[in-house]
Amino acid sequence: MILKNIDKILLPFFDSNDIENILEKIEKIDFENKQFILLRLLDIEHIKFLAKRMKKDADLLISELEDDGWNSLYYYEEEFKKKYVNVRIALKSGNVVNEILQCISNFGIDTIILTREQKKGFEGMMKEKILKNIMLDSDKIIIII
Amino acid sequence: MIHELLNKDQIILNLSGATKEDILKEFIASGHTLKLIDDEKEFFNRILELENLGSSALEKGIAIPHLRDNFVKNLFLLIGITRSGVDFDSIDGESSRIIFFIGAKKNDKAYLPLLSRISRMCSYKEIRESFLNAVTPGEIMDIISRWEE
Repeated sequence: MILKNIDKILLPFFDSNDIENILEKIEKIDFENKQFILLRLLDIEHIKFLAKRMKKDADLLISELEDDGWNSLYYYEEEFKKKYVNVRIALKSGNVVNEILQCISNFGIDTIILTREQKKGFEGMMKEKILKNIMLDSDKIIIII
Repeated sequence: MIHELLNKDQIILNLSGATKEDILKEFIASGHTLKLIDDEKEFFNRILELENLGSSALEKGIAIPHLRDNFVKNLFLLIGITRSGVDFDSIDGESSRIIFFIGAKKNDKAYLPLLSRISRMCSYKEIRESFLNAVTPGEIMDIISRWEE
């Protein structure tokens, strides 16, 4: 069974919907003794673009989104632990594809779970880009749920 | 705000524990002395249980052991520095040297924002370096106050 080769699972996410979706689905799979790393991603270039459009200071918007990102990480950390799931958290701001690839390498990740949920616009585009790059640049297991 | 929860007694500049368990006990004993924690044993068992379900260590030498449960009286924060670093089983393999210890009552609305704010503050290299260079609790309080201005 493929799950035997899995120890450290990266769960990259952009928003609460992604992680709710994952949390609901992993309950149905036997992930006992696996470690999950929740990775909240912030794409800095996209945030700067949004700040310009909103006529808002980019640094302020980044700070607000980082606070919000950590907030959601700690919230879901608690939710995962309530289900006795071994979980760790991290937040990365920058080029999200590079950040994911670095996390895969730095954290000794062997598996990445991505949601299948189709999204339009920026997030949909980013998910496709992430998937393509992980497939090209790493030999890790990718689970799409 | 982080600084509003702190006074100098809540900052331990030289944590002496050599293991994660020792460090947790050191914080709990300090919290008990400061009347922030009633039942030391229950606090230790619960926070260790959470640590075993996933370490609270982040990257770059930061750890934030945290617990919210109804037996905790009120939201509190303790800060400790360990010069030699302690293995908190961090995500990047680095020893933890700057440790924030947080307790709160269940459903305390300030708990998640406090964790978030500390995590963001510690993402700045200058802040981490200033913490490690501080020689008095007052300096740590000043670093936090200045960052929060």
